[in-house]
Amino acid sequence: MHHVPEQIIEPLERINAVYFSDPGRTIELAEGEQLVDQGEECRRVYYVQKGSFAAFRRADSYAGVDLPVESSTRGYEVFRAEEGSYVCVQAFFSRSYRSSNLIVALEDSVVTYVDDTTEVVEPEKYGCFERQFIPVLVHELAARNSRIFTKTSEKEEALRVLQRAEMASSLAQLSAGIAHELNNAVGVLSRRTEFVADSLQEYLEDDDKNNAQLFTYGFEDNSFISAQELRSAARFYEREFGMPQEAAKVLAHIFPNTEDGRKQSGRFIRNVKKNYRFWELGHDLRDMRMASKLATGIVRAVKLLGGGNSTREPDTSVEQSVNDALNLLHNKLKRVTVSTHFTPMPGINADITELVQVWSNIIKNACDAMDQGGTEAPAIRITGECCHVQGVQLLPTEYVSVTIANNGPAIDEDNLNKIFNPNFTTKKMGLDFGLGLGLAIVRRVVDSYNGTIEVRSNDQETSFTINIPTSQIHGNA
Amino acid sequence: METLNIICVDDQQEVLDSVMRDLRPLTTHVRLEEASSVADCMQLIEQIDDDGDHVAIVISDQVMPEETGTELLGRITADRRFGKTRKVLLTGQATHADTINAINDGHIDNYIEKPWQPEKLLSVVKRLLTLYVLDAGLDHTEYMPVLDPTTLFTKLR
Repeated sequence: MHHVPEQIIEPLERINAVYFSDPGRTIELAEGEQLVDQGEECRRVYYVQKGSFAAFRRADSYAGVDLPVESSTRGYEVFRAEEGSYVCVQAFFSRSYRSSNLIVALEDSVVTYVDDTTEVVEPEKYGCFERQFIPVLVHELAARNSRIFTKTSEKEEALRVLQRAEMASSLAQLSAGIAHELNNAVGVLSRRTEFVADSLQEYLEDDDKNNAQLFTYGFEDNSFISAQELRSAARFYEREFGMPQEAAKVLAHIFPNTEDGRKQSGRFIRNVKKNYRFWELGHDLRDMRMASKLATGIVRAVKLLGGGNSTREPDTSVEQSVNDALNLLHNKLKRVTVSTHFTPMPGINADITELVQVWSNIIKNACDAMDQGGTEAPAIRITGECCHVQGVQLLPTEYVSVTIANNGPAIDEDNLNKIFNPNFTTKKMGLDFGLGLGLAIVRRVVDSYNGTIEVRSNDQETSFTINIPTSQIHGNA
Repeated sequence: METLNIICVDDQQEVLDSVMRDLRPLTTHVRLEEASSVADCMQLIEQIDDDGDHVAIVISDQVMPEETGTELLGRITADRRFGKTRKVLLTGQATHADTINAINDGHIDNYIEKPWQPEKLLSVVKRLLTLYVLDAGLDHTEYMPVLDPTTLFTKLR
C-alpha cells in the first residue's frame, strides 16, 4: 500500500462515509471475477471496501490502434488496488467513461461505487462534487506516483541484471575464443616437448648410455624432497666427491639419501660431475611437459566455464560418470581410501564429460584439502541415490543425488560463502597451484542442469551433495 | 677468497630452478643457495653465518604459504649481523601495500617483476654484489668477473 498524504486522510474518511456507503451500490465479486473490461464503458468510481484487484492492459487496442489478434493475448499487469483504493478514477473525472484496463478481483472482494447520477451532499459547505472529490484525486496521484517509483527501480534492476548477463555472455565468448587459440598453441608445445624428449633420448642411447641415463633420471624425476634435505645432500656430495655445486645438486636429486649416493661407482660419479647438464636437460623437458599439461587443463577448465558446446545425451549413467572421475584421478587417490555406494539411479539427459568434471573437481579439492590439512587416514565416501521430493509445484519431483564426503579439515564459515566464487582458492603448491575455478565450474554446470548443491562441513566430515532433476521441465537444457 | 652466498627464496621449485640457471654465470666466484620458505631461508642463513661465510644477497618471492617475502626481508634487515646484505623482491603478485611494506620495512634494494628478463636479473644482482663487496671491505679484485664495472668505477672514484 502506498503512502497516503496525511492532509487528505480526514477528508477521505468523510467521502467514504458519505458517498461510498450505499448498500444499494455495493457489489461483491468472487475471486477471478471481472469488475470492468479494458475499453468498456464505465461511469463509476469504485472504492475497494474489501479484498484486492489487479489491473491488466492488453496491447490490442493500445493508443486507439487495433493490433493483430495474436499479439493481443498477452496482457501485462499495470497495477494492483488493495483495500482503501479507488479505481476507474481517471475514466470518470476525464469524462471519457472508458476503462483503460481490465480489472479483475484477486480474491473475494467488495466494492462500493458512485456514478454520474450520484447527488452531491452538502454543496453549501463542501463545494461542488468535483471539488469534494479532490482528495480522491490526490489519493490517485499519490498512488500513481509511488507506482512510477517502484516501476523505475524495477526497471533499473532489470537492466542491471541484463547487463550483467550480457557481460557474462561476452566474457564466455571471449574466453571460448582465447581457449581455442591457446589450445592450439599449447597443443604444439606439448606435442613438440614429447618429440624433443624422444629424439634426445634416442640420440643419447646411441651416443652414450651414461648420459642417456642421466637424461632419463632428469626427465622422470619424481622425487619430493624438501629444499633442506636436498641442500644438505648436495653439500655432502660437494665435499665427498669434490664436485661443483650444480653437479652435487643433481646427484642429490637422483640420490637424496647420501648412503645410496656413496654406493655408486666412481665412473658414475665422474660422469655426473662432468655431464650433469644432461640431467638438467631432462629435468627442463620434464618441467615443460608438466607446464603444458597444466596449461591444457586450464584451457579445458576455461572452456567449460565459458559454457562451450555441451552435447547432452539421454540416459547417461551418473554412476558411470563417477567411476570415470575416480579413474581419472587414480594417481591422486593413491593414498586415499575411497568407498562408493550406489542405489539404482535412472539415466539422465546429460553430457558425461560435464558430470565427470563436476565430480573430479570436487574430489580433487577434497584430496588437496586433506593433503594440506595433514589428514591422517584420508578417506572419500561417495553415495548416489535417486530421491523424490513432493509438494512443491512447478519444481521437478525426481532427482539423482550424489554426495561426495571427505574426512579432511572443516571449511570455515567465512570461506563457506566464498568457495563457489571464481578466483577463490586456498591452494598454492608448486606448479599445481589452484586457479580457483574448480567449484565455480561445478556451480556453472550444476546450474545448467537446474540442479542444486549442498555443502556441509564440520570437524568430522565435509560433504558436497549434488541434486540433479531427472527430467528437465523447463529450461536451460 | 671469502665465500659469498646469494640465496633465492621461492615456494615454487620451477621458479627457483629458473633463477638459479639465470644466475649460474656467477657461480665461478659466488655460491648460489635456494630455500623453499622463509623458515628454510632463516635456517640456511644461520648455517652460512655459523660457517663464517657471507650472505651477500637474498632474492625472495613475496607470496609464500607461511610467511611473506616482505616479512623475511624485514627480519634480515632487523638482524645486525646481516646489515650489509642486499635484498631483492622478485614477485608477480605483490599488492600496493606489500610494495610499500617491502620498501619501508624490508628495506629492499630492488624490485623485480615476474616474469623477469634474465639479463636484467643478472645485471641487478651484479650491481648489488659489487655494492656488497665494497661495503664488506672485501678485496674487489678477487671478484672482478662477477662485478659491475660501472658501479665499481663510480664507487671507487
